[in-house]
Amino acid sequence: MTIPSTASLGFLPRSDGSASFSQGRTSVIASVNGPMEVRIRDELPQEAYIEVIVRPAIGVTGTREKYLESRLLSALKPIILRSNHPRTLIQIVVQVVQSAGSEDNAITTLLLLAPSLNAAVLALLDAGVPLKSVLSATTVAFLKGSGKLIVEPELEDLKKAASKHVLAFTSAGLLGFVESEGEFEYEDFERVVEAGRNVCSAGREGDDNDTKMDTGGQGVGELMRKVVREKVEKDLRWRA
Amino acid sequence: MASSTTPPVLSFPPQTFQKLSPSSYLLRHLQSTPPIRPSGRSPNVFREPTIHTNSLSHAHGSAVVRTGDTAVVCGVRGEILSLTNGEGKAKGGVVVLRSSEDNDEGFVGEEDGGEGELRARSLIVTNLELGTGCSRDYHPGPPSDFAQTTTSRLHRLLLSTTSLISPESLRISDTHATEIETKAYWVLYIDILCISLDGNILDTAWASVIAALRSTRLPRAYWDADLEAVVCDPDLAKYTGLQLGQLAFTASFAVISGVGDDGKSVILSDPDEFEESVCEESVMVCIKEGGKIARIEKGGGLACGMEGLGECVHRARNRFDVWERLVKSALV
Amino acid sequence: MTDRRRINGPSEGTTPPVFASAVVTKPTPTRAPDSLRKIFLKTSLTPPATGSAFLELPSPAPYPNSSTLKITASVYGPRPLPSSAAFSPHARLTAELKFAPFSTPHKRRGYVRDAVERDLSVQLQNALVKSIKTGAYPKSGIDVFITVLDCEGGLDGDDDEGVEVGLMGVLAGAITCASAAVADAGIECVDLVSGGVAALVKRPQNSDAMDTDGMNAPMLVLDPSPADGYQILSAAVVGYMAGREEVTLLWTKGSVGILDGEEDELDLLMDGAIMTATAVRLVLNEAVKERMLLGLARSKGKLKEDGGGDVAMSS
Repeated sequence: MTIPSTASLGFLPRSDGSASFSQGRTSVIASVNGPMEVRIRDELPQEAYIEVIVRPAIGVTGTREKYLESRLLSALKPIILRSNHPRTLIQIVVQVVQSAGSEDNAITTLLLLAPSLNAAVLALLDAGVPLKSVLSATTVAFLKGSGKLIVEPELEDLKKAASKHVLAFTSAGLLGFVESEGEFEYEDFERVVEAGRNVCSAGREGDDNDTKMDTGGQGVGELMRKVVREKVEKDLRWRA
Repeated sequence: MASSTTPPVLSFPPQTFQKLSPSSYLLRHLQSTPPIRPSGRSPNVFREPTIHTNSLSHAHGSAVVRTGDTAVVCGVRGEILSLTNGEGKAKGGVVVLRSSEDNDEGFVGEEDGGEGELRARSLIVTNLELGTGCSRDYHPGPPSDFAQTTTSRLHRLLLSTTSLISPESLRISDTHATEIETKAYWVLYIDILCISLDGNILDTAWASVIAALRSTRLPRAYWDADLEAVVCDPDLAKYTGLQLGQLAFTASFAVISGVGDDGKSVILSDPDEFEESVCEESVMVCIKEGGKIARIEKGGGLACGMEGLGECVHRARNRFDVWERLVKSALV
Repeated sequence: MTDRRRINGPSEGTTPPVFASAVVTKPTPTRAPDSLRKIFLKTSLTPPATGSAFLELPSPAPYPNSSTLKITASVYGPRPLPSSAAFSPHARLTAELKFAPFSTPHKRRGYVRDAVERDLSVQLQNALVKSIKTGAYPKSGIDVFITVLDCEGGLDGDDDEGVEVGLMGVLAGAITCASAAVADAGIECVDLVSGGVAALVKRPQNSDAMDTDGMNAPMLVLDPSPADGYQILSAAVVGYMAGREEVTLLWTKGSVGILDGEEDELDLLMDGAIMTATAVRLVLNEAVKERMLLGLARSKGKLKEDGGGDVAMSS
């Protein structure tokens, strides 16, 4: 049984942009504020300073959240057109609403990455921050023995997996972010990347329904595209 | 602007050029044939490491690792977590039950490599300290974000990527009782101090952790039923090393794009501080014994595709051999 | 309280291993009271710093397995003070001394700076500041960072029986090491500072001197180590500028000053500590000279290399 991924946009009225994303039992909310005034020590003369803050579902920020922040920042920084807003701050806050497991271990941390990344990208779109490209992320598990791939696996699948991968692609299919862990050969990794690319890159107009994955739903790239399209249609209703 | 005399070409000494325009300074170097980095290395060349182990007198194991101008000292110290007094008592009961269940079902080492037990009890405590005057960017005081991130990465590598230490090897049991019961645990404090920082702290720090753990010798600890406490044997001959899993080493890379006219990217192995400050895109590959990949991290850009990652994996495998040889010869 | 910025150990706390038959055999001192240990001192081991040095004091010869003293020092500056700082006509010197978590015997040390470290930092700063020409660097800061990687123990345990000299040894080593790092940084100094320790100890029972002059008179030991096993009555550490014959720092411990016959114990201790510091100064001189010669050789080589090595900025 898999829970289909869901996403929504622009529900926080006081932030410039907001989005939520849930994948399986992991659910996060991201909000984006900016470009706004930057602290003097962070100010960059030629580009915007990007800050990512991760807030855990329970407890206070620790080294794990710092780690997530640095990984999210490394994925988001290159897609933002930073030079458009020099000497400003663009702040991205990711609030974990629910994480897949209660324990604080490597797998639950890994499961947080893809939804956080997707929510952050959607919130950036909602805030109207100029982007070079849109990134969408997914998690892939590579099963022991059979070599079967599970896209957007559950916690239980990951426990049995030989290796687990979080991948993000631009809509053009360029690999933007990788976090893979386990024990695997490079050939396996190539297969994993191919599977990830299929779900992440948004299907082109007309072949929406051909990219259906074995997860039963649509690919994450297509989902994000759909959510943004609906939002834009809703916002521009008055023109019709 | 036609003037009769051509103005003299604006020229700077290299050091000034490097400060004025760091990225074009690096690009100019890489555009020469053959491409060469400001440090004089070729793009695929790592710095030569050196390792010394067991040079500290109060740690149970230690290592000093230096690669180029990056140097770290790692000390491992074992302390005892008692499950039988105070707060630990109630909690201890629960864990003992679970760990015996784990053994029956083969849970430990199968599904999470014992990570659950190690994490629940905080048996491994890894910390990286950069506030030692190792570089002008880090000051004494609370760890910077970078230090926290690197600490977290090292901790993950140790607990989940490599499962180097099994919780069984840290248990101290009552061997005289009919039923084996865990009375206490060894807690390993792994402290890494950077004494000189010139880029790529992760690879050097991780190698120092491996070398220090391999050199660690703990006294024989046993449960004394009369004293109701864990007691250690002072006999130096009975000190034993840790049982460690497979070796694994990391290799970090920086990627810079736009080197050629066609925007070709170049992958720099083992970047130094200057290269890290210029290149935004980075890749890290962790290789296990037997050439299997244990971890890939990539972020910060879009220039390095599958071809680039393949190259990184290839270089990381070669680097693994260098580290493996060195670590094995450091402890005879 | 747990430190959110670090990975913490079990909340229940841990104890260092307790040994079964903790046979405390205090070693009997075999080293000659006026023998000094060989010091290893090397500069420029932290290239990113303006200046740096590493000092190692081996365990006293008869006890090969006992602990050593290892200290690193790095110096940054002179660099501009933050714009928020008030105007200062002199360079502002700060010294920070930290013990590594694995540097001390028995219990692991925490990362947060404690009172001992703060105290030693201030003493170190006082010992150094007189040697630096601070007037030459207005509106600047000079920062000295000292990390103690390994120490000989004897950090606490002062009681009626005697005092411990471990901290004094650390301070003396830190002074010498920091002074070498300051010189390595090329900061103008009026002299170098070296640290020296001396102690008055209870005369061992089997001492030859027993039947000659006063069996109860304490004995002066230069460069004492906690590993020696003396019962130390009082001790002193000095920061000494041998070139100018000036003492920049004096710290004594234990009961001193009791006039015994015609000899003043304080004089005795100070003379001993200065004697040690003077000997240490020779090592310091060597290390700085070595660095200077290397620097000269390098700058000569560099001149040749750099000839016409300018890069045209054409982009």
